[in-house]
Amino acid sequence: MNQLPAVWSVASSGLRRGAGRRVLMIAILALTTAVYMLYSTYLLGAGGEAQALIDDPELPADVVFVGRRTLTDDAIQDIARRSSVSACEPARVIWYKSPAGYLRLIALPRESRLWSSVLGASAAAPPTSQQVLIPRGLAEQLGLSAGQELPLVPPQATAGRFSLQVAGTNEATDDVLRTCLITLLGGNGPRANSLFVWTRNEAGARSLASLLALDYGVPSRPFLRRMDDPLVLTASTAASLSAEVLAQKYMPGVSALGLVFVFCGIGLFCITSLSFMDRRRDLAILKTMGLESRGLLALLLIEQGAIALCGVVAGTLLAVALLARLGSLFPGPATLSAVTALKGALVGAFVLGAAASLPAALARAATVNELLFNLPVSLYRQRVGGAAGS
Amino acid sequence: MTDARRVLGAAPNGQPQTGPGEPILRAVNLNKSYFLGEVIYAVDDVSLAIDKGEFIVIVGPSGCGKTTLLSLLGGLDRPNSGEVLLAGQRYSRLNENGLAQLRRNQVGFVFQFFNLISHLTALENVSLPLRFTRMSRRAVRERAEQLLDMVGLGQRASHLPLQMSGGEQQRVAIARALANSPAVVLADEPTGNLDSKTKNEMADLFLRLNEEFNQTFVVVSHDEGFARFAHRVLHMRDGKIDKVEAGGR
Ligand SMILES: Nc1ncnc2c1ncn2[C@@H]1O[C@H](COP(=O)(O)OP(=O)(O)O)[C@@H](O)[C@H]1O
Ligand SMILES: [Mg+2]
Repeated sequence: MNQLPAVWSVASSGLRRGAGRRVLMIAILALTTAVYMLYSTYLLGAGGEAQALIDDPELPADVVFVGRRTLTDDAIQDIARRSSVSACEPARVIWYKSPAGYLRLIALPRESRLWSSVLGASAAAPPTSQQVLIPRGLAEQLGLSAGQELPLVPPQATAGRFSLQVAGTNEATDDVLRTCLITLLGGNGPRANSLFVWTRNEAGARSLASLLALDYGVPSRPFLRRMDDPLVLTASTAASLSAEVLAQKYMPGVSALGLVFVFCGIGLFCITSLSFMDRRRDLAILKTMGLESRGLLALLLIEQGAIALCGVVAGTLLAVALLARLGSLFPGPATLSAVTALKGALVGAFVLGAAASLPAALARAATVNELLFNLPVSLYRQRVGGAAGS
Repeated sequence: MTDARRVLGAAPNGQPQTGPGEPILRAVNLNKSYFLGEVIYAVDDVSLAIDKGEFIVIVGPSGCGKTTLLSLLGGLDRPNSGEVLLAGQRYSRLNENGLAQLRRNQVGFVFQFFNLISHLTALENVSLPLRFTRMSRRAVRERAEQLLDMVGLGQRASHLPLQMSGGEQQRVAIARALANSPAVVLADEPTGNLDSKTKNEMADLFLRLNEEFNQTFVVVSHDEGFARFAHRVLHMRDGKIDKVEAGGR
């Protein structure tokens, strides 16, 4: 027997005429969903960053510290004083989009010791700040030769396109430097955001890397290179170090998320339990009328489904709004991906479902009298249906 | 079968248990006990037979098991032992859904506190049991309007329960109980919450429905009004029916 029409008439009128507690449930659910979405977006960015931390090929310094913020002279001096730093020089490292895809542009100060590596034996002149040395492969791919312009677009921006004049090819022997665009860090141009640090030993490199991670946390990005001398930092050292850095980064977020989830879960559980108490009478009436457990399930699904839908939609909007405002705090691109949104919706629905499952089980097990007279409901009832005259 | 018949025929005080027409509702050796520190025999070996069109009133002190008996008769709860038969169906052979279906089609309930769904209008409340059937929306609406007319509330169809007096709410509840033309209407102190004038109106309404539609009623009530119209008055005490009187009819 189809119970949907009756169930629908009760559920729809309840949704139309009774708001109250439902609004609170939607609000909590929206918060849960939004928090999950923000955190998941954060993890995506941080995950990308962590991957970069592990995958990034090495540069010719023990510690290469790439920050998003501009480093002040004081900060550079401070870092240079730390640990067993033997040399420390500022640079600006930034990704630009070129006709051949994203490329790292490194702007080195005039006195950098890296120039010797970059200029190699070709005896090319160092570029000015309007010029650039380009990898040999890029020159061949784009058919560029000295004197021509290489157009560049800043990352994550549509405006601000500019171009640098090709001064020659980058002759670095180093695997990484060889793939970069190299220019001169201009005196009154952008400030350094990175440091190339040479340390005296492995322990020094390690401790400096974690100090930098602590001080510059997000969004700074310290990583280590393998050196040619006996003090080698192996790839696994880098990986374990990056894991440490990530653990430090994730711990507060994971704890906050856990707390929010626990509180939202408890809140939702209390509210669904309260609304079950409120609705004992309605459920009793429906049961006397012959509502079967399937019908009851449908009723609860419609009601909780409507709440879940509103909560998830509100939570998504909240997440989008917060991402737009707090984007600068995120390591990666601060946009809500479809997958994250879907996951958030599922998580929201799951939290609500978990919170509602005990009240739903009670509603199902309760007899009409238990519901009507506020008697305790026993979930495990042994069925006794005695036969006549036995 | 013959065994059950003999049990049913024997009233505790030897009075004959016959009424007009066919027996429609029977209880055989019904037992229901609760354990609250000690065992409470809420319904203690009760047997009875109610004929079609009969108007039965049950009286007895508070806590003697009247509500429990009605729940067992209406299939709202299961007995510890014993059997109930309504229109030939044995409750013990029905599973939970079967019992729900039986309540849907064969039993009407009226409660002391009206128990209307507060966010549904009078018309929607009366329509609700009909929505469980295969009737079309239009037919449901027509029947619900008819039922409201029958209890004299045709004009209040779009009112919510809170906009109606207690008596009016109870009349809506009665219309709702009658919606699916049940074999029996079970009413638990239907006037317990009403003033005396409304009480009499309510008794009159029950009588009219009983006479006009041959509707079978089992009513728990201490009202003289009901006892006057009853075919039989069952006196309960400590879970047992200890006296059966002829009512005022
Ligand atoms: N669900 C229950 N759990 C425990 N005891 C109950 C329950 N329902 C009824 N009782 C007990 O059974 C007895 C009969 O109750 P009830 O049928 O409500 O009496 P009445 O309706 O005649 O006042 C009472 O002692 C009551 O406390
Ligand atoms: Mg009672």
